Amino acid sequence: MSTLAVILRHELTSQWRDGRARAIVVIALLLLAVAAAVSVQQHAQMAEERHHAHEAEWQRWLDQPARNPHSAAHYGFYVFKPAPALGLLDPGLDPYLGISTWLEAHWMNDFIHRPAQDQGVLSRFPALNPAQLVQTVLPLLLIFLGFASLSGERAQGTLGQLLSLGVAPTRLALGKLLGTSFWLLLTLLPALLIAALGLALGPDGGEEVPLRFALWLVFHLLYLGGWAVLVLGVSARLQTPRGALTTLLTIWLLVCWILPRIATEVAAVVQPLPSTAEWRIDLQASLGESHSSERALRVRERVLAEYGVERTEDLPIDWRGISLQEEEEANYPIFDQHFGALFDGYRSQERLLQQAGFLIPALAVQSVSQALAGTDLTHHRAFVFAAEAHRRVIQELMNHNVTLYDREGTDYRADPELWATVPEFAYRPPGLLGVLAEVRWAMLALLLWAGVTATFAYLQVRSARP
Amino acid sequence: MPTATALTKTTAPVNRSTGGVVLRFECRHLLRDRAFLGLAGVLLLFTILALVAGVRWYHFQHHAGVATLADDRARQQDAERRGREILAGERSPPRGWWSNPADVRGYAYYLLQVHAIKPPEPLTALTVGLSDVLPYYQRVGPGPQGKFQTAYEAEHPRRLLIGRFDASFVVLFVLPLLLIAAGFNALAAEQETGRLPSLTLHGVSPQRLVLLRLLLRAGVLALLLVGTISVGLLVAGVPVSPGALAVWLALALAYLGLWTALVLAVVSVSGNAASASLWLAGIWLLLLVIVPGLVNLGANQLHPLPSRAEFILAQRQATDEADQRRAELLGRFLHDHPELSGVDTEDPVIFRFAANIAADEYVESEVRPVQQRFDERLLAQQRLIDRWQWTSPAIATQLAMTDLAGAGHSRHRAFLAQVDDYVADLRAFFYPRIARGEYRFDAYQDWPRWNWQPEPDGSTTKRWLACLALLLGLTAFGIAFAMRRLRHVRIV
Repeated sequence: MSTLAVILRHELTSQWRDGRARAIVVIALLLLAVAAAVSVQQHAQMAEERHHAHEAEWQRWLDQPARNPHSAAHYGFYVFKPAPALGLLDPGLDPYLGISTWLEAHWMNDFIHRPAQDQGVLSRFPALNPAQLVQTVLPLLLIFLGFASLSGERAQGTLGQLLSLGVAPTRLALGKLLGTSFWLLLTLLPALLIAALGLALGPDGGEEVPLRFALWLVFHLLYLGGWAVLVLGVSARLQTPRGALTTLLTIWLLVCWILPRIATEVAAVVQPLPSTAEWRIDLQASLGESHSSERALRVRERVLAEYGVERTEDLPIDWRGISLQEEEEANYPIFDQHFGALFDGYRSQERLLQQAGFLIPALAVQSVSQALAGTDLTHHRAFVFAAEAHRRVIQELMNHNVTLYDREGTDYRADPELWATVPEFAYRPPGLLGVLAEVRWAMLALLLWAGVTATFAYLQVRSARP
Repeated sequence: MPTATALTKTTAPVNRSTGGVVLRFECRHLLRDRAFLGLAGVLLLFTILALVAGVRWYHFQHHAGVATLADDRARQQDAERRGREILAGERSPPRGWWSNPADVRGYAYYLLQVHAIKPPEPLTALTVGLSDVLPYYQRVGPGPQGKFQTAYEAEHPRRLLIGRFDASFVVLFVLPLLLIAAGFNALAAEQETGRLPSLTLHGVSPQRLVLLRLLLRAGVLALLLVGTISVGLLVAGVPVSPGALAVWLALALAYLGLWTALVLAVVSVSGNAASASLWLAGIWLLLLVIVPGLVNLGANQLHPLPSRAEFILAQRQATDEADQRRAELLGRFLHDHPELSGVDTEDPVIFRFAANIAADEYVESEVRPVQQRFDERLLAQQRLIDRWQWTSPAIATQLAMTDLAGAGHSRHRAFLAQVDDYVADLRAFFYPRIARGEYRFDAYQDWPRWNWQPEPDGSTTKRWLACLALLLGLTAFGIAFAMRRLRHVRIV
């Protein structure tokens, strides 16, 4: 048996015999498994509810009786953001974003019904979902298991004995690292299996899901690997287990709990967003300008000249249809600009948070996790603008019908077949490459985290003295 | 070698002068303890940061409310000016009633912009609670309220997910950590340096030494916290009531007291500093992360909220039904509102608008049970959390602080109830005019205005008193346990 295998076997045996370590592993394993099971169940229910609501709303649109197309445009329909498959691992920002928006004439509506709004005060404590546990609790497991790995040997005087027997410090450290990694993977395994089962049995989330799941796992292992080698390095560097434990707990508390909150506050100060009240006042002011009667008159003159008549009543088409569409089109750039500016503000803050990930890897892994799970702002933005694009298609079709067939003074009602000319709303989430590009800083931060901690650990282990 | 018990028994009786010497020694030791001074510095820095963030949030909400009201007033004045000009014949009325401020339909349904504002409580500067998730203003009008549900603040959702760096966070999450760092080796330091036996022989009992050491450190942290918060709020000009601030600080100090007792208890049972810090970090994780997470998970599983998608579908379904039953609904509406007798439903225009009112009321009556189911489940969750709050002092303290700061569901429910009443007042003013076909409108100053009624004083007393009692009771228990254990501590 090689030296490495002997060290590994000894490590596993001694950690298993240590009741404290065993208890920690079992508690973490159960917590993760329960969180994963609850998450799978809640996610499946949410996905089903939203899918059902989407179908019901679409059918409601198709089943409308004969009515004026502009009335139909006002009637509109709600679209529901589908629950992304990997949301069961990381619900991410979804609880803080609305689930649905109403596609109606004239107005790009907000997304309404944030799930967080229906939650109690306890929702402000860290949530027990698989991503949160992996990102914040498993590092503590690694600390508990590994803080004494080398400093303990040193304190007991066994480090000197081992080195004098010719065991290379790096080999000894590798054995310890493999031992800790074994417990870590054992803790993760049930939760991952439950999640994989949930993904396999749940609704089809698209062809990218397996790759996204694999990448999610890879980046989390990179993050946890960084923690594992950091623990080893600190344990090699400090003389006593107490010193190693205190140092590691301080780092854990700062990185996982305190600094992320400070970073979001700083990001809000550096890249401030307007209040919704100010934003809405600005939007309404811009829309008011676009509705000016001068503009309406200009359009009217142009249309009359185009058809060579002097009164709208003499037009071979319905003036109101043109006017409605002109108004819609005048509003498009205003909505694009205001909603776009809001999302750009979010994006600037997000970039800052990702860059803060170079110091706070918990922020970096959170960014990557949400992006891969499809529960970040990039996905939400894509859905918001896809819904808006669809709203515009509806308006164009309805206004075109008004223009062709409606006449002032008549009670025109379009045949219900018109409703079916509107394509069903089908949302395709952004592709993986685009998503990864959005979190490039966070991915880089995680690679750097793993690289720096590994180098630190290697240097400390190599120069470890009894 | 004498046993621990034997040594304890031979310890000289502690007298007051020995206590005074130890206190002076500890004070001098504290001033030279760079690690502790660093921790105190960290608390000072974090408290200031939290205050800055909290005060910014309070002012942000306050100014957003002021800006909204100012915009409302400007639009109301503009509508009134244009309306009066139309009525005086100085301006020709617009083509559509919907943009005519001299037509009650246009004014009530489209041109009347009014927001119901829930003003922030000054204590939100310390406890943001749910105030960044729950809307604090809402557009209202006499028409259907469904379209007015979107008053969310434009926060980066990640800030909402991670949570605010407010004074509550510093107290609940950070303060225990600083205390742990300051006290986890309160006994072990003396044991490991071998000074404990000699101190004991000089009449200093381990109980007194450890208690004094921890109380001194906790006292300094408490003074820093109370001083910084009080001075900070004063400087920032937050109009907080002294009574409310005193209660908030009392909760914070009681929570600190509990953690002091916990550290004492763990120190008394742990063999060494590493073991104590391991246990304390585990307890911190358990009380601050795992137990609140599990209680929340349990509340959601036992009382799951109905789907909001279902709410939307119910609303749409009711709208469709109302469209198909307009005449019937109008008949029922007029029957229920005898004050509207004489409405000429033969007139197609009057019929249309009166039927709209009847249809809106029908939709709301159909959706109300779905909303009630939400409210009931949310209340059931809240009751369950209330019952289980004792499992973690952090839950109890956060609940009490959030209620005290008016940043939870309780004040929000009061706000929504007032909004409902206000909408009813607006309808009582506008609907009879619309239903009777009296469309000419000049009563710009007469429609009811929003007037927020604060919750009565003392509405949160029960909760914070219960929380204080819980914290103080647990503290007393923890200290008693620790003192008992320390009596049998190993001296050598």
